Amino acid sequence: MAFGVTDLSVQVSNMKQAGVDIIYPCMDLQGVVTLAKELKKQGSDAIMTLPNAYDRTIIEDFGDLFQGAYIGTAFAPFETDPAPEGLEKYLAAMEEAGLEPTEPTTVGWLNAALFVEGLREAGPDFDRQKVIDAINEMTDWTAEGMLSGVDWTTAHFEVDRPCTAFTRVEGEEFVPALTQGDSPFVCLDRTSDTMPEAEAP
Amino acid sequence: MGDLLRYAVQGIPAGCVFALLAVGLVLTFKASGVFNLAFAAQAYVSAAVFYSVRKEDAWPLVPAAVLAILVVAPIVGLLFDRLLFRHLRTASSGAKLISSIGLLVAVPELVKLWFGSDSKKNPPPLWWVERSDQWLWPQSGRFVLDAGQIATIASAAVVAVGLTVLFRWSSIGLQMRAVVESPRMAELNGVNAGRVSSVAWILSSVLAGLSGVLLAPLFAALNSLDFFTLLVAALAAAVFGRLVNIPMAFAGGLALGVLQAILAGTLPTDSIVATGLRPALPFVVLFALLLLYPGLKSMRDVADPLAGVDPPPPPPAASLRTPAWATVSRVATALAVLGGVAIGWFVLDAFWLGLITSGVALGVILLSITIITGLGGMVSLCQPTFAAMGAFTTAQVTANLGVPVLGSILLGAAVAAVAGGLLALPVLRLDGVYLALATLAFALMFQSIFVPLSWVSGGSVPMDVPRPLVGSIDFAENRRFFVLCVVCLLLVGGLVTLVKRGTMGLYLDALRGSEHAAAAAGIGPRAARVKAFALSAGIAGFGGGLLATYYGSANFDQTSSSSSGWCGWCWWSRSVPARSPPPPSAASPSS
Repeated sequence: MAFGVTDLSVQVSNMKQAGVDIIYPCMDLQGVVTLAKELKKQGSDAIMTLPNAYDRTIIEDFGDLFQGAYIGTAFAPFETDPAPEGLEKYLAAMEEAGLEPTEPTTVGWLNAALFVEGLREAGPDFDRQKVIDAINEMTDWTAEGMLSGVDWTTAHFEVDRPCTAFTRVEGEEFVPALTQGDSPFVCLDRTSDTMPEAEAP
Repeated sequence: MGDLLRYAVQGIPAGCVFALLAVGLVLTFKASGVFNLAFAAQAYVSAAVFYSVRKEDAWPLVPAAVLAILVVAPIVGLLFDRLLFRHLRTASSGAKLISSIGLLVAVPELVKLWFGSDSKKNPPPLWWVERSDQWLWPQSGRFVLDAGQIATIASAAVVAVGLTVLFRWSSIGLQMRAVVESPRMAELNGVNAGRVSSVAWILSSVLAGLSGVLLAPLFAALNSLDFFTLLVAALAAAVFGRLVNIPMAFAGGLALGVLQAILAGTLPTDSIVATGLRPALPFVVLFALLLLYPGLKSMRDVADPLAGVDPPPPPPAASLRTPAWATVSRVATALAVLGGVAIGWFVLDAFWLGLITSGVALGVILLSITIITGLGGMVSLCQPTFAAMGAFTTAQVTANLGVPVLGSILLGAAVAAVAGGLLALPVLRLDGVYLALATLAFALMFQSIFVPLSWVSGGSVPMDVPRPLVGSIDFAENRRFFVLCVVCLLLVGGLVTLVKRGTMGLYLDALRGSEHAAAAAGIGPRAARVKAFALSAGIAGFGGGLLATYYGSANFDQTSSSSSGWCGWCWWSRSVPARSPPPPSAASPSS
């Protein structure tokens, strides 16, 4: 939010007047909490879809404000059942280390997994450039099911079919939502001229 | 009309937030003569104490509030008075402002040594609920207030009325104003200036503590920077009250909140004007008030008529050197520079060399303050803005026009210099604190309106800035670049020394002594100061380009997150006695 803005009452009352059903805010914690408080105060039942709120501490402090909100992640949520192999390894490693699984540590794990995969593909006679080249040749890297599949030959420039996994806040839990069969990911074709259908990866 | 009225009513709670902070700033200035930006730090201290005892230690509400607002806050204020501001009583308003900036930076960091720097979510409100939105009045309807908003509105109104009565109709209020104007005169009339000063600081600190505890729940997590951003937004309201009128400051705060709400509701969301104006509104209003408000035109530092009773402050050590000692210090400096370069070249690893190199580039930017503040006697809080202009110009010109990097850096300096000169034209009608606030408003306007534009900063995509390549010498090698930065620092330092000893420096010295006498001698105050502004901006722009070359990019994040860091630079460089001593005359009206 801008300097000195601590109140979104005008924006929320306009949204309510316009009959807004879904809000996709791209703001930090301060912004989304302020928005959620105002939605509650004004009795709006608009649903929020949050790209950066997969954090248990947020639910502990502000869970009542985000009931029913959809939380998006780029990786398979920890609650995915059945859990993909990569996710099982990650959760086991975190438990062994006595650490709480979080989104930032998951990103770190994925970066490390990509590096290891790149090393393997580069072979025993590796150097920095060979590892980079090996990674950039991967066309469907999933980190053993933690991701929907990254095509590194194009991912640096464009992603025509982005995929996201969603959970929904119910009580104090994140519950997987909008799953496509066994896959936690929802993919939408950005190049479509009409409203795309949700698909599995 | 129905919608406009609705927006106006919805703007009142936010307006009361601004009003409370503006009244706090005005109270401190009126009662102590200090424009205390550290008010935000004081608010954070009390908010941290309240969070700690109320949420972490589960204290009941009233004892927690008493501790945070009526015990800790006054102690902090007394420490500020006794250890610092009492000794600056006869100093200029600029010196006091810079000192408050130092406290603004240092105090929260000291508090974090105890409070911790991990995220402290969900600050508790000054109410018997865990979160302010858990108590609403009315329960439903068009305009619903939560517990925090009701407490803020009530507190702001009570404080404004109470302080107005205090200053207008009480003897202590009159004594406070007398001590600010002339401590000696007040003492001659039987007023204990020290005690009155302490009372003033206690009063303003209690208000800071109250503000901190009341406003903390506005934020999802407790963060010292949030109080500063709110305070900065409330500056326009304080200026509306000419820094001395409490009811006007209150009205200004309300008006600002209402205007903010009306603009939020009426401006189209996809308009470029709206995108830039909405976040910059408090600073645009502040800048406009400072330039156009008739009530500010003749406000200058009040000269204590008994200032001559006190002995003059000791001159800086630099002016007392004997020629032999001056030679020794010059030789020692040269040896230190050579030694430093040798250590950097042969000894330091990449990490430390990088840190030292960035410090040298920052040093170039800081030298700009010697011109504007040391020689010119003007406090400018927008030097990082000129540095950013230099950095962005360097990046844009190098990337889009193919100009060699060193040439782009010089071009960036030129652009910054022009901007500085243009800024000086309207702001030089102001003096002291108002001039500083105008430069701060300009800096924040630039950050809000221009920095997010892709043709300025590249937007969210950083622009690459390569290291210079001069002939066969490639400065991509870190040690060579380090030496280049040292050479640049020495060249800029030499330039500053030449300016100091040259005509411009003598003119600025004369203007600091007595503007009227200088004008009578044919020295145009405006021309000299505009040149000082332009030159200092150019030096800052040059340093900014150099820094961008060090980082390898110029981007939005580097400039937008540096407010507290910049405040630190500003305090440090103002405090180091880099300027020449004041001429031997009575207390000057400015600086």
